[in-house]
Amino acid sequence: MRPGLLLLGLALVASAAFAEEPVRVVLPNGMRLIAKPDPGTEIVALDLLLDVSAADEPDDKVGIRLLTQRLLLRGTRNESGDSMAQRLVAAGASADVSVGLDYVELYVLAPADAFTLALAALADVVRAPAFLPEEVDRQKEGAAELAQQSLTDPFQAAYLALRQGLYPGDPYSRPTLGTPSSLRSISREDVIAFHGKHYRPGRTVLAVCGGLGAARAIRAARAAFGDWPAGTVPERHPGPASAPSPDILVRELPTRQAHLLLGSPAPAAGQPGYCALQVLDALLSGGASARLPKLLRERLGLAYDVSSFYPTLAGPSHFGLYVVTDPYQVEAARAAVVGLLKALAREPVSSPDLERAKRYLLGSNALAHQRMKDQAYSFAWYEILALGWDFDRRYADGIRAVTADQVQEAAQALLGGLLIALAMPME
Amino acid sequence: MRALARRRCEALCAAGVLLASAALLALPAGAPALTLDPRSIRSATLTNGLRLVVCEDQAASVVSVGVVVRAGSADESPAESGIAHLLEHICWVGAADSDPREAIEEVGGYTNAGTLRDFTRYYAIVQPADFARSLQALGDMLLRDEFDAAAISRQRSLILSEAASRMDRPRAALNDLAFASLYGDAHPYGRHIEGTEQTLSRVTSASLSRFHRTWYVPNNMAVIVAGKVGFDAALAEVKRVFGGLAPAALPPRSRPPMPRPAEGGEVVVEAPVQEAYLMAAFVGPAISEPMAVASSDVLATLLAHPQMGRLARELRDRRALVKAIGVDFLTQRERGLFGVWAVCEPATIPAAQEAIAAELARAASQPLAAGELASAKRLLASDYAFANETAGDRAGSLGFYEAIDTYRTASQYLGLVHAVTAEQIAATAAWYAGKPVWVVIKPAGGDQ
Repeated sequence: MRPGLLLLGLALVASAAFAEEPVRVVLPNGMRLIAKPDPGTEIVALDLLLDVSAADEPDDKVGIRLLTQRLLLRGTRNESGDSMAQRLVAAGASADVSVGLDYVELYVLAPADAFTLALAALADVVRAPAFLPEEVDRQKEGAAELAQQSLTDPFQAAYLALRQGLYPGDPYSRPTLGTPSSLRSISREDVIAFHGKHYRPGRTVLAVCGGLGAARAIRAARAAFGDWPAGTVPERHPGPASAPSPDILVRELPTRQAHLLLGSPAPAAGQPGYCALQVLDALLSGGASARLPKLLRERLGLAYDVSSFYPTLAGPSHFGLYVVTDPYQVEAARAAVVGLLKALAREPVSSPDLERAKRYLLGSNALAHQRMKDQAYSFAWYEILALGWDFDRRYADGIRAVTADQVQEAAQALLGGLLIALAMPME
Repeated sequence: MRALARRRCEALCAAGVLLASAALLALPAGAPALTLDPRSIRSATLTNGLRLVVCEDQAASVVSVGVVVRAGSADESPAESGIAHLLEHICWVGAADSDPREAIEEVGGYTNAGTLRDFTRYYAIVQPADFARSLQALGDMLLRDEFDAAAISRQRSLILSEAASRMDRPRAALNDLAFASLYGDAHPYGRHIEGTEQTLSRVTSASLSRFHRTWYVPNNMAVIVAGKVGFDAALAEVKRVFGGLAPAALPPRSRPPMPRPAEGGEVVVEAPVQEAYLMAAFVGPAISEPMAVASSDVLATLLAHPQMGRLARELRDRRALVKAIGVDFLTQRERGLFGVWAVCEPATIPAAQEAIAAELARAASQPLAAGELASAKRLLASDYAFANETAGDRAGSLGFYEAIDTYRTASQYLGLVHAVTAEQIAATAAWYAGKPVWVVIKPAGGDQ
């Protein structure tokens, strides 16, 4: 059933994409460094991820990671935030932070000849933030505004409801950015303590990709972070092993459209079944001619925005199906989506469909790694997920090995645990 | 979330215009330029006149393949305004029974198309193994000879509904208004790229075919390839898909250069917007005036860099007169628009206009502070490196230059930017310190 020549062609492409071999080093303090040179570029991306997850936030301080991250860029014990921003901009560089369910991120993009300055700024920011009182107050308000936007965004509202149903009491069920009230209850002392406890080299991965040699990047990073004291890395408490709640989870929002989300528990990143679900995801919404848009958008005209998604998470993940539709069409849309899943659970997909989905996944994966920033993030992120920086290479093999039977089993498993979340107007 | 509605029509998108503008920026002299290094670029001309430009990068994980057709809205007659853009829509989505986009999207690739005043571009980004497939798909888009009425009517309504929501993006609307007000009927750059309801309603299968037959000929097109592909392999595939096309004589296309307006003016439009959007619009240089182009780009950075620019620091940060401020300058085949824009409270419009004029006058009359010129050049250089990071970015830049001049302009132009002197900056600023045509979009009833 497998067109061998075609697969061989893809294998060659995938391995040749990593012509310059990355170098991985673990410092004595536990910090992991990954450097990948690219002789064809004159920019460099420095991406620093910390294994500081939603589970590390105290129950009454949800959002403390967002606040801490924002404050990192607002001044260190050595330099004001404005002064550092000014120096970075003048060198053609930029810096930003982000917060995910499993990690926090801090990155600097710079012309390769500004690497030294970029690395020094990154090290200063993560190791010696000042957390100035007036900045804490200002960033609290900014963070509260972001959190509020997220809570009132229809997709985010439905998605949060779904996670609350899937993971009752678990850190994954919390709003990733916190809530305005939880953020406002966090004090400067809380932030200092949180940073001191969790921002440790043993939890840190720095990936450097771009126009400079790996040896030089590693040497410089070792100098910048080698004397960062290891400290003790706190144990992470496991979330409660709770069963999903079977309710329909409705959030009332003043929207015009209904935002329907169906979701089911799914394997963590790299676990058995992970690749089969990726293929299922591509079958359902990989491209405009995939099954979900073909049925709901083109044949039934029920929705324009329709897709599936499968987050790659360190802990137990979930598979989601998302439809934006008229409030009166919610039941029709739900039935159509479930019907698609049932068809996939009833019999194995055809060989051409399976191969098309795999090619789609490998192609879009290649497109997702075009920028130095994307490559650095991918290396660091897979380290954080405990899959190893080179997971991306094994990913392609894993996708190619998926069988039609495995996709069918994945669809059956999804149907068994489907929850429904809905954000819609109540009038 | 996977983005399902990927199409971004560049002709209707101000961000697209700004990105293209970044492609004109420059590298520092001294160090050899890695992005768009002339040594990595090869070109060829097929016997039918089709141009091929290949920028090879074996370290890339993808290949970008695109076709530029040297025909845009400036090549339309006034009565058929919008036909180039409509044709692009129809070609890109394909005929009713075959959608060429599917061949690209089903292998995880990305495709898009866009129409500007001077040219139209179709492109795809795919894994290297899918190069031939995506080139064939682009060929299927472009090499059509029939356009059915149903497709015309479908795309026409789509374009008109996009145009109807134009004021949802006031910056793009401001840009349109500036072109219309500055060029008027004197030059085709004054007409909207997307045309009007009236002109679009006149488009027929026959008129589309005529425009297509006239301009979509091999001697008016270039294939641009960047990324992980060898020159010989690319040439062979391009010959296979496009080699059989017959060349055709192109209509003459000479117009007198757009004159600098003798006096300024002001056009005010009231619209359902929250804030006031204003722009001082000037006639800038054409690609055939490369030193003036380089100098205008340096001046634009000096004035309008979002953090370091004089306008941002003085008007936005220090005096808080405006919420956002910048310069739009897209180099084109003919003299393009150089516009200083700002977003402010309606009551602040006169003060913002006065302050912008004063900053332009200062740039013309006062010598630059030490280091200011070097700093602006450095910012340009890093912007350029980031704007040309990926294979797709590089193909975009090469195609842009090949369409309005030649792809080589990129390399030559870099040296020019480095050579810009403080005197040239002052002279360029003096050109823009004349009377602008002001265009303003403001909330209805917002009289001060």
